[in-house]
Amino acid sequence: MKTQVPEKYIIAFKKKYGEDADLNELEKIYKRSLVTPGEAVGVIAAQSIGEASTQLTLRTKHAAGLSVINTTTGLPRLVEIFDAKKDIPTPFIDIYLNSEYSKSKEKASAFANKIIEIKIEDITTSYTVSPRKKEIVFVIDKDVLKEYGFTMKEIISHLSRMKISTSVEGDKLLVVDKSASDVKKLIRLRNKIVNVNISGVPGISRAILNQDKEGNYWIKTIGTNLAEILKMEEVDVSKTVSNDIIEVSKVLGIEAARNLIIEEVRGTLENVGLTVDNRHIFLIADAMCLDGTVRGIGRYGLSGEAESVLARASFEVPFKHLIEAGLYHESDPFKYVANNIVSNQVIPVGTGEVKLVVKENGKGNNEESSGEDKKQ
Amino acid sequence: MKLESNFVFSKIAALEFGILSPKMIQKMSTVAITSSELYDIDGFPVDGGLSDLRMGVIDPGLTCKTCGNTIRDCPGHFGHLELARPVFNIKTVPYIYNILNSTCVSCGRILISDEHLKKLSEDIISAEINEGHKKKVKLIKAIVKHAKNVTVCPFCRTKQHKIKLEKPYTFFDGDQKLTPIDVLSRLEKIKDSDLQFFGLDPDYSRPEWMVVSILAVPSITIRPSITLENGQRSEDDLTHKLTDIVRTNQRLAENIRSGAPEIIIDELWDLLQYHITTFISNDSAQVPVARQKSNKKLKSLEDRIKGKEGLFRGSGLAKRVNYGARSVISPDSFLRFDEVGVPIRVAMEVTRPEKVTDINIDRMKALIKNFNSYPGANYVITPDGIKKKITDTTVSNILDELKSGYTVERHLKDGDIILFNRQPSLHRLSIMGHSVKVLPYNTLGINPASTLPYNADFDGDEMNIHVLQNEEALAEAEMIINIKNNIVSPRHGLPLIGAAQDYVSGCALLTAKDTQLEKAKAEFLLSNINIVTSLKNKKYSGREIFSMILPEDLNFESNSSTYKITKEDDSIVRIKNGKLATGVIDAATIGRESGSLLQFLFVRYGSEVTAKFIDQTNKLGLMTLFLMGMSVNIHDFDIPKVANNEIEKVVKEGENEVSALLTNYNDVTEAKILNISNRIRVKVRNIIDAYIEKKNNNVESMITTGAKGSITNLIPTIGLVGQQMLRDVRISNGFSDRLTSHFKKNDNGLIARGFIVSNYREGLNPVEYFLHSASSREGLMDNVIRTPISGYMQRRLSSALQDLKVKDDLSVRMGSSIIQFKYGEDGLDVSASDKGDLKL
Repeated sequence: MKTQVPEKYIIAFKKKYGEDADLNELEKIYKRSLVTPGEAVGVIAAQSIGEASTQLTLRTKHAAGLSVINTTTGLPRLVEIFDAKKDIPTPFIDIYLNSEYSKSKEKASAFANKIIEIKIEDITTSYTVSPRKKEIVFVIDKDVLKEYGFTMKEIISHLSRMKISTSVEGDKLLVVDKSASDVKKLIRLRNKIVNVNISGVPGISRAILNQDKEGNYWIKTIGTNLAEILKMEEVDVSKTVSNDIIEVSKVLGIEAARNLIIEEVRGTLENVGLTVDNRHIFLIADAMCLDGTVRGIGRYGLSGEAESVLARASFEVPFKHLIEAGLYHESDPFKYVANNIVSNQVIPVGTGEVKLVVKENGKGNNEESSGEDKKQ
Repeated sequence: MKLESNFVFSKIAALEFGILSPKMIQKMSTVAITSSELYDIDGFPVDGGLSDLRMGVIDPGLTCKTCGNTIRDCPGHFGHLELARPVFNIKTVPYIYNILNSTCVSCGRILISDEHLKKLSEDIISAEINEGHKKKVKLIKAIVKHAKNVTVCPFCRTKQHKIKLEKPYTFFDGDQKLTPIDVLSRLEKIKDSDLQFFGLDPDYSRPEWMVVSILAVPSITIRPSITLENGQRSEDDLTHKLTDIVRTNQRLAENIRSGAPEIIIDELWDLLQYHITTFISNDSAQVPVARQKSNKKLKSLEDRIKGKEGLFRGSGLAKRVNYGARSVISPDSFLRFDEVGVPIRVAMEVTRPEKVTDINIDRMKALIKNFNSYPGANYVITPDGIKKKITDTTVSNILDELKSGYTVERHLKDGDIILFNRQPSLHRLSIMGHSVKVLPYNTLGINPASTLPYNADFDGDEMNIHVLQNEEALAEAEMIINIKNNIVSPRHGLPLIGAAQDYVSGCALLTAKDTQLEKAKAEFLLSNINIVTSLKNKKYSGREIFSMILPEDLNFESNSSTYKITKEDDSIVRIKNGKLATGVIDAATIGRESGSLLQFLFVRYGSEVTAKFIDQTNKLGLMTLFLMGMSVNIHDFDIPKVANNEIEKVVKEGENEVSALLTNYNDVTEAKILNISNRIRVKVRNIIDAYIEKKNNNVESMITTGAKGSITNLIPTIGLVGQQMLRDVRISNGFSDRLTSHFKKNDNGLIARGFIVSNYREGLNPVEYFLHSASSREGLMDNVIRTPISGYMQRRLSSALQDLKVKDDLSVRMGSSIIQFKYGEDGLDVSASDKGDLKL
C-alpha cells in the first residue's frame, strides 16, 4: 500500500528539522502510527465507551444552577443517545443570538419572552362545560392577560379557524359548538382549545437568559422546536442547536445529527472527567448515521438489522429471528463475526482475515491463489 | 477416521434457512414413531418408540443403527410422527393469520389486482438487491397490510370477510371455527406465484408447511436420558413432552377410527395442539404452562435456545474450555509486570502440549520420567491421536515408544505464555498474555503495576489463567495480546501500566533535587535492576542513577506533577541524550493513566524497551523506599490553629448567609444555599492547601507527586465533611418538618439539613454519622443499579459494531457498506501514535 503522509505533518516536520529533512524518516513515523488493517475497531470503540460508562453517574443535572431545569446527563443520557430515542424527556435548545441582540440585555430578554409558548390554558383560571347549551365558558385571568399584553380580541382571533362561534362576556370567553352531539365531543373540544397557541413558539415552555464570559447573552430553553426557532431573524443560525438528535436530523440533516451525537457523547463523558478518544465516538456516530437516518444501536436499530441471521439471533429474541429466517428463506453469509463464532470457525477479523498467498513453483506469479487458511 | 478428524476440509460459507415440508421430514426421518413406550420389560429401547436406537446413541459402547458411529461421532437422526389431525405451530400463527386475511376466501389469490402485482414484484426484487433484506420485509409488511383491507377479490369477485384470530391459536371465519384442516386447505390453494408477496418461497417455505401434519421428532442425542444411581432412567423434558404428544396422537387416531363422537375428537385434537404448542414454546401467552409432576416447568425447544444460558448466548458465543485455572490473586512486586506467579499445583495440572522432535526428545523423556513431581508431564499423545496418561504402570512403556511426532502434555514452566483474565471482561485489556513464573504459593501472583487494566485489587479478587494449546494461539498471545504490547490503552492513548503509590513516591524521592547516594547504596539500587557495574565516583545523585535506565538517545521534556504544584523550574523533566538533566520523575511522567514518558517511549521505542523501563523504574522506586524509608503519622495531617480558626470563620459566615436567606424560603433559596455550601467547601480546600505543612510531610509529598490522594481527600479528613445530599437535594424529611429530632421544626439552616462541620480526624457526632451513612448508601445503590445498565449498553454497542473492521486501504467497513473512508478520519491508531496525533 502506498502511504501518503498528510501535508500538515510534512510542514511540521520541515519546520522542526529544516527544509531538507529526510522525509523517509517522517514516513516511517507515519506508517508506524497507522491503524493495523483487520483491526476490529468497532469492538474497540464499543469497549472504550462501555468500559468508561461504568464510571458515569445516574443522576440528572440541574442546568444553570436552577433546580427547576433538569437535563439528562451521565449514563441515562448516553443510553438515550445511542438508542436514538424520539421525544427525549429533557429537550432544550441553546439559542445564540445575532450580535444586535446578544449585546443588549433588554433585547435578549424581550426575545426570550417572545419565544415562550403561551396557550389559552396559561391565561384561564377556570372553565365550565355545559352540554345542554353546547357551550364552554373559559374564565380569563385579566391580570395575566395584561402582563402578556394581549387583548380578548386577539385571543378570539386565534380560535377563528375552528368551526365554532365565540363571544366575550366580561372576563369570560364563551365558546359554542352547535355540531357537538355529546359531552365527549365538548370535552375533546375543550382540550383542543386549551392547547391553542396564542403566542410564542409551540413546544418552548421556558426560556432562560444566560450570559457567557464575553458578556454575550444567550438563551436556554426548556422544550424544543428547532425548525421554528431557526426561522427567527434574531437567532444566530450557525450556532444554535437543540439536544434532540432525531429533531436535528430532520431539521438540519444527517451530518448535523452525526456532529450532535459526537458532541453530546463527548460532552457527557467529559462532564465526569472521562477521556475517550474522538475516533471511537466518530465511529459509533458514523455507524448510527450510515443509511441517512439516525438508527439506534439496539434491537430496533443496528443490532436488529444485521444481515446475518445468527448474529441477530445471538443478540436478542432468537426464536423469532430463526422462524422469520425460515419463512422468508433468508441466507446467512458467513462473513461476519457472530455467526462464525457460533459455528466454531475462525472469525474474519484481525489475524483471522489474513490469507496466505503462495507463489506457485516459486515463479513470479502475481495471481493470488485464493489461499485457504494459514494452515495448509 | 482418527486422522481425518484433525483436519478441516471445508468451511461453512453461508447458511440458508427454510421450513421443512412434511415430505422433507419424512425423507430425512429414520424412524416412524408408532409407540409411546420407551423401553420394553428388559430395558431395551422399543422399536418405533421415542428412544429407538436408529435416532442416535447416547450410551457409551453402543453403535448407532443408522450411521454406525459411537456416541462421540453420531450426530443423531430425526424421526417423525404422523399426526392423526394437523395442528398449528404456535410460532407461525401470526403469519398464518396475515396470509389468511390477505388472500381470497374462495380462489386463494392475493387480494391485489394483477397489474399492481407486476409492479410490486419488481419492487420486491429491487428492494432485496439494492436495499437489503430488511427493506424487503418492510415492503412485504406494507403489501400485506394493504391486501388485508380489500373487500372484494379482484380475481373472482368474491366478497371477503375478515378472519379473526382468537389467541392463542383459534381462527374464526365469522362464527365458523376454522380447524387446522380448513386452514390447511385454504393455504394450499395459494398459487406459487403469489407467495413472493408474503416473502415466502415455494421451494423453501410453502404456507401450508406452517401447519404441522407430520411432526419432526428430534434425535435422542439432543434429549439424552440419564441413568440415576439407583439404575432408574430419568428422561429429558423433551422426551416427556414427546411421550405426551405420541400418546395423545394415538388416542386421537383410535377415536377417529372407531367413529367416536365429534366432541371427544375435538377435545383430543385440542389436547394434541396444546402438547405440541408447549413442546415448541412453554410460555406463549394464554397457554397454560406445562409442568412436570414435581410442578417444575418443562423445558421447551424455545427455552433451550433463548436467553443468557440458551443455545446462542450460552453455548454459541461463549464456550467452556479446559486448561484453565482460577485462584485468588496476591501482589508480588518482585515479579516483572508481564509475569504471573503460578502455583506449582496449578502448573502441574494445566499443561502445554509440546511436539517431540529429535532435538527435544531427551528433555521430554526427562519430563515423562519425572511425571509425579515438578517439572514433569501428564499425558502423551501418539501420532494417531491416542491419549495416554503417564502413571507408574505406563511410564516405562511410554518412554520406550516415545519418538518424534508424539506430543507431550508437559507441566508449565517459567517463560510459557498464558492468558490472564479478570471478570468482568469489560475491554480487551481484561484478557492479556502473561509470562509464567512458577512459584511455591497457592495464589496467583501479579505485579501491582499491572492491576489497572484488569481493575483488580487484592481484597480477595480471583483471576483466571488459560493455557494455550496450539502454536497459532500461542503466537498471538505472545505477539499481539501480550501485556507488553498493550501498555498503552486504545481508549485514550495513555499508559494503563506504570508506576503507582510507592513506585511513584520512590522515584520522586530518588530524582528529587538534592538526593545523593553513596556508592554502596547506588550499587545496591542498580543491582536490583540487573545493572551490575562497579561505580567510580564516591557519590551519585539520584538523577544520575535514574539516567542509567534511559535509552541513550532519548530527548524528552515534560512537566512533572510536582512542577504543576510547586512551579519550581528544577521540577520540569528534561532528558537530553538519555540523561535526566532536571526534573522530578513522578506520576505525570511514569504514572499509570498519566505517564507521558511511558507513552512517548512506547510509541517511539516499542514495547520491549517500555516494558523493561517500567519494571526498572518501579523497582528503583521500590528499592529507594527500602533504602530511605517513607512513612506518615497523624501529625502529617496537622494544620495550624489559625487554619482551623479560618475554617470555623468560613462556616460561620456561611451559616449567617444562609439564615439571611431563610426569611424567604423557596426553591430558588434552596439552590442558593447549595451554592453557599459549595463555596464553603472551596474555601476550606484553599485554606488546607495554604496551611498544610509542605516540607517533610509525606502526605503532602504523596499528593504532590501524584502517588496517591489529592487535596480533595483532605477536605473531609481534616477540614469538614460538608453537605450530605440525597437525590441531588439536601437531606430532608426524616421527621415531620425536620430532619431528625435533634433539630427544631422547619429549620432549613445549613446544619439542620445535613451539613457536616466535623471532619474524619476529629470524628463525627451521631447525627452527622447517620446522615453521612444515608448519603453513602445512595452511592452504593447507585453503583448497583448502574452496573447492569452500562453492561447492557455495552452489549448492544458491541453487538452493533462487532463487524466493523479496518480494510487494507484503512477504510472501515461492515459487510459491504463503508462506514468511514479512513479510520478516525486520518487513519491513525490511538495507541500507536501520540493519542491520535504525530508529535514530531
